[in-house]
Amino acid sequence: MENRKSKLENRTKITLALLAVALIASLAFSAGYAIANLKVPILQNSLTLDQQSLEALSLTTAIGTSNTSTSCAILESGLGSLNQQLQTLNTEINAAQTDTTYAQDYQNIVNQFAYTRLDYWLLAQRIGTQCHNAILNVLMLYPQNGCSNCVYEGEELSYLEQQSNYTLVATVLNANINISPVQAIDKMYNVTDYPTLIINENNTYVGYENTAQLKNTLCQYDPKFNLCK
Amino acid sequence: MHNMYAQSLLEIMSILVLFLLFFWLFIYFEILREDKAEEELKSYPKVALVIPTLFEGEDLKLSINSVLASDYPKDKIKIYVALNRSTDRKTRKVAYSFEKKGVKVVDTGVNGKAAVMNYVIKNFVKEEFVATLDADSMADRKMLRKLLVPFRNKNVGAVTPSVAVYKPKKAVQLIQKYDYIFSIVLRKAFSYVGNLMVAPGPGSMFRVSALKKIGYFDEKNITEDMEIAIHLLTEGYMVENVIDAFSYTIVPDKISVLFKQRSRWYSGFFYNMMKYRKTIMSKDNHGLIDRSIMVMIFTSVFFSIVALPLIAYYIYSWILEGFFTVTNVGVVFSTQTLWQTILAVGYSFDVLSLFGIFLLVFGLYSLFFSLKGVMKRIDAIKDTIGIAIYVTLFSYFLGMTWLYGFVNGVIFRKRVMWKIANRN
Repeated sequence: MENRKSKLENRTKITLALLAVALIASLAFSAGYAIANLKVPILQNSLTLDQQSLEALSLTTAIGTSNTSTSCAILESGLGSLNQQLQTLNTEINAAQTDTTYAQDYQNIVNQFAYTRLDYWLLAQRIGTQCHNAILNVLMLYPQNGCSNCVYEGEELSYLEQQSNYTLVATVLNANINISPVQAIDKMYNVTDYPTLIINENNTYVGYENTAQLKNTLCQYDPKFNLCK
Repeated sequence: MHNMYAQSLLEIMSILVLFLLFFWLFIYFEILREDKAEEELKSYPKVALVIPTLFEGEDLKLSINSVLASDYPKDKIKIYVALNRSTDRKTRKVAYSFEKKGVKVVDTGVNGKAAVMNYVIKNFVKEEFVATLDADSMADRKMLRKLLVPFRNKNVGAVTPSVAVYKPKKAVQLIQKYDYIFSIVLRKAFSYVGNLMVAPGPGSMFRVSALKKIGYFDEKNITEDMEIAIHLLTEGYMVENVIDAFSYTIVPDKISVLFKQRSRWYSGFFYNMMKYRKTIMSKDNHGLIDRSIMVMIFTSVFFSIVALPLIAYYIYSWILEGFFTVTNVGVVFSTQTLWQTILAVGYSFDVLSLFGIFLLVFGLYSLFFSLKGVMKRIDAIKDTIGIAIYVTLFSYFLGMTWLYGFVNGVIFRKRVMWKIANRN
C-alpha cells in the first residue's frame, strides 16, 4: 500500500519516540535536581535570617526590661513582623516538601525550624510577661498524621493573628517531630492528645475547634484579648 | 515515604505518556505533511452502497440524497436501503419514496444492523465493492471515488473515511466536533501503522470477496464495525484510511445518549479484544496486527482510564480543602496570604512539575497540529476554548466511559446494548 509503512518502520518510530522521551526526561531530571539543589540553600539562608531576627528581638527584649509603653510597643511590633517572617518560611518549607531529592537536608531544616519556632514561642512568652500579658501567646501541637482538621485550625489561628493585629501570636508545631524539647513539652504540660493548644503558658486545651469556637476559647482564657471586646 | 512512592509513580507515568505522545506525534508529522497530490481512479468499478435503517425518519433523506449527489458515475452505484424488521413506518415511507430515483429498498425481515447488511450483501450485491452508510450519516461528494483508490492493492479488505460531525449546534455536539477531528488523525495514524481496528458505519467500503471469505459481519456483535476490521486484519487483509474522504454524521445532542453510545463502543472494543485475544497473541496466526502497536494502544487506553481517578482525587482534595477553609475559617484574603500562595507554588516546583509542563506543551501541540492538519485553519479564540473544554472536561468523560466499557466488556463480559429507543 502506498501510505503503509512496514513493521520495521513502526519500530523506527518507537525508537525515535524513546530517544525523544529520554532526552526530555534527562532534561526534566537535570533541571529538577538543579532546582532542588537550589531550594535547600535558599531555605537554609532564610532560616538563618529568621534566626538572626529572633536573636535581635531577644536582645532587644533583654535591653527593654522595664514595662514602658514605648519598649512594649517596639517588642510587640517586632514579634508581629517576626511572626509573619516565620509563617512565610513555614509556607516555603511545606511547599518544598514535595521534593524528595534532598530528603535528609530537608529534614534537618525542618528540625532547625522547629527549634526556631520554639525559641519564638518562649520569646513571645517572655515579652508577654514583661509587658503584663499585652499579647496572647498560643502554642498549637498537632499530630503528623490522622488530623486533617489540624490544617484548618492552623489557618484559623493565622487568620485570628491577622485580625488581632498580632496581639495574638501563635506557634504551630508538629508534635511528632523528633526533637527533645517537644517531647519535654508533652510531659511538662501533660499533653496526651492532639491537637492541643497551650494558651499563655499555663492553660491547655485539647481538640479541634472552628474559628468561632476557637475565638471563644481564647477569650475564656484571656478576656483582655482585643478580639473579645 | 508515601509521597516518595507516589512521586516516583507519577514520574514513571509521565515518562510513559510522553513516550506515547511522541510516538503518535512522529506519525502525525508524516501523515499530515505527506504529499497531498490527489490520486485518481483509473477506472470506475461498480459499487454497492447499503444504508441500514431503524427509525431515522427524515434524516434518511439526507443520507440517501448525499449519495445521489456523489460525483461517482451514477450508472456505477447501486444504492440499497436495508429495512430492519423493526424499522418504523415513517422511515419506511421515506425509504420507499426514493424508489423512483433508482434506490432499491430491501425489507430484510431481520433485526440488527449487521444482520440486515449481511442479508443485502449476500442476496443482492453483485458488485466488487460495497460501502455502508449509517442512515443518520452523509457521504461527501468525492467520498466514494477517494475510498476506491487504495483498493488497487489486492490485499486491502476495507477502506475507511474520515468521519466528521454534521452541523453541530448544541454544546455537547460542538465538543464532539473536536473529538471527531482528533479521531480522524488518530485513525489515519492507526491505519499508517497497520492496526486500524474499526471500519465505521458512516462510509466504510469493503471488498466483497474479502467479506465473503471471512464470513461477513458478526451478527451477534453490537460493534460490528470494530469486529469486521479486526477480523479482516487477523485474516491478513489491510484496513486502510483515506484522510480526505469525508463522511458526516449526526451526533448525540444529550450527554446521557452520548454516554450510552460511547459505552457501547468501548465495551464493544474490549469485548472484541477478548474475542480475538488468542489470535492476536498467537505467534504465527495474528495476521497483519502489529502486536507492539497493540501494546501502545492498550497503554494509551490504560492511561486514559487511570488518569481519571487520579485527577478526580486531586480535584476532590482541592474542593474539600477549599470547602473546609471557607466553612471553618471564612474567606481570608490579604497580601500576605497571596504572597504565601505564590511562594508555595514556586517552592513546590520540582521534576514532576517539569514533566507536567512538558506534557501540557506537547499534548496541546499535538491537538492543535491535528486540528490544523484536518481543518486547514485554526480560529485562535474559538478553537482554543474548544480544546480547553475538550481537555479539561471531555477527556474525563471519555476516561469514565472507557472505564465503564472496560468493566462491562472485560470483567462482566457483557456489552452495553443498543437500545431500540436510542439512536447510534
